[in-house]
Amino acid sequence: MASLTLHFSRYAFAATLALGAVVGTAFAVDAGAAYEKREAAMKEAGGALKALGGAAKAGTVTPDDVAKAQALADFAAALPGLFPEGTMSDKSRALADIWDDPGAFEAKVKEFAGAADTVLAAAKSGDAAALGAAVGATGPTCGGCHKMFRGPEKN
Amino acid sequence: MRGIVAAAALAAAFVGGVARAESADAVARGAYLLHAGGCIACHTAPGGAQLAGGRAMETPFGTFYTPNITADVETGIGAWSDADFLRALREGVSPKGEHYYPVFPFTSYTRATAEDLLAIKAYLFSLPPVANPRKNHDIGFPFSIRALQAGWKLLFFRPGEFQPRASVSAQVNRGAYLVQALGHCGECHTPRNPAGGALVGLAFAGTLDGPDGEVVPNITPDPVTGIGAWSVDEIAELLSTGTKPDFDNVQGSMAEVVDDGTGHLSDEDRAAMAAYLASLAPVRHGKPRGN
Repeated sequence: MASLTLHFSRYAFAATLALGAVVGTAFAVDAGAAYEKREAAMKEAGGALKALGGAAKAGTVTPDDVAKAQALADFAAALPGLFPEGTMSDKSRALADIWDDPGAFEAKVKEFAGAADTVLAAAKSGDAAALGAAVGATGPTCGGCHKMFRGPEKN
Repeated sequence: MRGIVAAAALAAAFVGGVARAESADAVARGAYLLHAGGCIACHTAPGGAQLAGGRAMETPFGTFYTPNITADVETGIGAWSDADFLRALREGVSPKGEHYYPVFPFTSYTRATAEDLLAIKAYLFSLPPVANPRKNHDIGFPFSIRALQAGWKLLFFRPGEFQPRASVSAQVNRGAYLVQALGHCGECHTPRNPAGGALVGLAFAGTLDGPDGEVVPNITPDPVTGIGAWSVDEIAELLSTGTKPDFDNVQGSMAEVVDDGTGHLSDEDRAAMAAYLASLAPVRHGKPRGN
């Protein structure tokens, strides 16, 4: 029995180590992957906004547009999670101020999220004019954040 | 006698009043044209007094420090005559006869009208002078030999005022003037040869060697490497707010161009600049842009 306990605890120890390794890998920050992920998400959000602007101009809001507006609002909610600490890289144009001044970053993200929620509400209402106004008001909140927290493209 | 003096004083006041009214108009135009010329960003150091210079300009040739262009007599341009000012901006020669380095875009300002440039001068002279001595440039040999600039000019400098083309609309001509002369867009957007001369065949086609090591995009209407997919309105929007069609905005030097320059222009002038850029021949140069 004593030896069984010993065996068990050995396995438990090994298992704990293994689990630790797995968790460690999952939590370790992969700057490259984080960059790819947020770059793709940003592109998709920009594409959604552009399409919504087009829908507003055309004067018809389709269920597909509502889905795009929903995706935009979801993106805004997920945005802070796209910038885990330590994910600056040569490729990324994210500036250190994101992590050095998290309060300012959160405030800018919040402005964008508020604007994205207004876009979603407008899309759901089917009011193309309201959607156009909401999309127009969202553009500057993209730039407002990029201005402070995104650097120029360097060679 | 008293009557004559009073009449003379009245006449003097009247003449003075007319002169002031004329210059007030020039000052107002100059304030606007200063933005069109993009003067503020480079001639203002971070945290420094506006237009008092001292900003470091990193280039492949070394670091240049911009001079004070306020009307301070000792450290600025307060002692300059109109002729001095025109010679500096259109010929790249200082009142002392020194050649300027082309980091100062006289290569573009040479296309501007004397009337516009003197309006800018009138505005600069209407502002309070600021004392701020100039800092020496930190540039490598042989570029450090200023006299060599005379040779550079012979090779690469084509002086002369902008000439409108009869074959294009008045709007495109206005845009061409703003882009080529005052806006000096080509200074960054046109690649240069190793000696710093503009590669005319690649005008506005972008470069990897922009100011402060920035990548400068191709702004010809090539659909792959340029902005051919953008509408004229979208180009004008960028000049107004810095927002690109994909809802990203411009960063770095171009953000300054918009903030201190094109963002202050009239919708009409921005539309003209956009119409001109859209009318250029597309040049395929550089990497494909994702939007």
